[in-house]
Amino acid sequence: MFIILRLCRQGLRELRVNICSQVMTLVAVTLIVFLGAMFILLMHNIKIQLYEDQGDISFELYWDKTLKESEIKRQWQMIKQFPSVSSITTYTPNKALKALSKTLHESVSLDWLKSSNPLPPTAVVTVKLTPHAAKKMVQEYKSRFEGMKGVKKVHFNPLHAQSTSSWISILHRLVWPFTVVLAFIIGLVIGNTFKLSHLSKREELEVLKLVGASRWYIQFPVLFGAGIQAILSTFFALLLLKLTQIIFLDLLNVPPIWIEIEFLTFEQIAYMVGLLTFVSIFSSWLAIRNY
Amino acid sequence: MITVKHLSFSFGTNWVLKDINFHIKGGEFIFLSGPSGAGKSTLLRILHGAIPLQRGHGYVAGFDLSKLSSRQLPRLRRAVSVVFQDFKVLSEQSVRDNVALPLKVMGVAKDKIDRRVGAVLRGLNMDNKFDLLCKELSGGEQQRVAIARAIVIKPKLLLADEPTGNLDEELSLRLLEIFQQFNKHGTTILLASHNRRLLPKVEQARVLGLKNGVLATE
Repeated sequence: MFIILRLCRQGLRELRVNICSQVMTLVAVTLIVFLGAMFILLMHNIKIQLYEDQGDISFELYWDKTLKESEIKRQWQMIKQFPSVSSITTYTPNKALKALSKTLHESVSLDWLKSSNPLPPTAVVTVKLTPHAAKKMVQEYKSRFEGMKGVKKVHFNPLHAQSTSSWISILHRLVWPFTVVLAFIIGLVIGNTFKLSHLSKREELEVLKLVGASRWYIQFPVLFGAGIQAILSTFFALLLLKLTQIIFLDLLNVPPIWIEIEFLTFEQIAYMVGLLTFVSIFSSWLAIRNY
Repeated sequence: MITVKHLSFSFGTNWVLKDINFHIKGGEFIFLSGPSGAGKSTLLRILHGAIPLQRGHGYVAGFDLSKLSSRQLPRLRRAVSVVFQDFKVLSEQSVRDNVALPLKVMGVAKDKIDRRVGAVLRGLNMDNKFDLLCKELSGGEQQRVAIARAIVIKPKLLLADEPTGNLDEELSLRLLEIFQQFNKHGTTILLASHNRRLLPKVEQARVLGLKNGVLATE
């Protein structure tokens, strides 16, 4: 344990040697990570917008007029509690008549229909679809609503569900492979940057080998230093990204677009840090594995 | 200290060392002489574990070179120091840090390192240059730093590969005197040099002559 701490301290000390070269490496890696993170931020926000715009479906439910109002209201309360139901707008027959009257701009009086109102109790239920299970969810909710006591008709736009799945499918098929390739390229560039930065250490590593330093003594401080540089680079890149987000936060938050740029999730940040640290340590090990 | 039996080495089809046999006792001073390309450096690199033994047997300071594992190699190098013609000092580090390096690697305590480094550098008349960077030193001074680094761990065996190659006559002789002093204190010295004028300067030295990869004792 003590030896590991000593080697960690050695790794931190070595970061202060050739400070210019270390700073250049830090700046280069930070900028590359920042560019990659910008892309992830863009995709993240596109995904959010896609889910918000395309991810809802509305069901129109029509009840049998003969069913007791108390039973219908009880069912409306029950529907509100269903998972993924984001909103429910209900219409008693009278309310439906008033709404119809309003749509006709009250140019036609519908008071004569009050005694024999043909309009059934209605509810418009908006369900938030899970992107990967949109079709299945639609079928499940349709069956559920049709199975409810007194529900005579359930109406929805099947093309909407199709559209949701299609957009999500496009996002995954097009964007994810591109993201993987981009991540690979960024990994290569960062890996190469770290490899090149260790060229200046060659002389020292040769001498360490010469005087009888073990492989661990030679490699551990370098790998530890590379890990620290990776974490620092990610930190600075995220700072830059946050600054960019703050500057552009209200750029798209205007009518009729109303898009607020959200920052990366904790999970995405953790993946970035983990991936970058792995790439930096692995590429550094490749550079010094013969010592 | 060193026993070599039927040692042969080739780079591809080029046989650099052919059936070398010799024995060096502890405390001896040996000149390994021969023209450039005779195989002196290759032999020293094999003895130091820098290149693996191909054929034959070699025993250096208790280590069997034919069975040397990656774990044993650092231990061999702590028992056997080496000085090169091109010094191999860290030019961006100070004289003190360069000489202290082997002791740091061995995990010696800081105060002990300071005492030993100070003693060795004073012995080599370098005590006024502790904090200078090696790139600020002359060739002779850098070579003394390399020697200081080699002897600070009190090695059993010191290998020197053309240590006077980049130095003038006067410095070369001074360096020889330094090596002789260490030899008197019990360190076995194996010094490779193509400069035959150095041979008579060390009275008690034995000479191993290498020519075209073949050894003849003079």
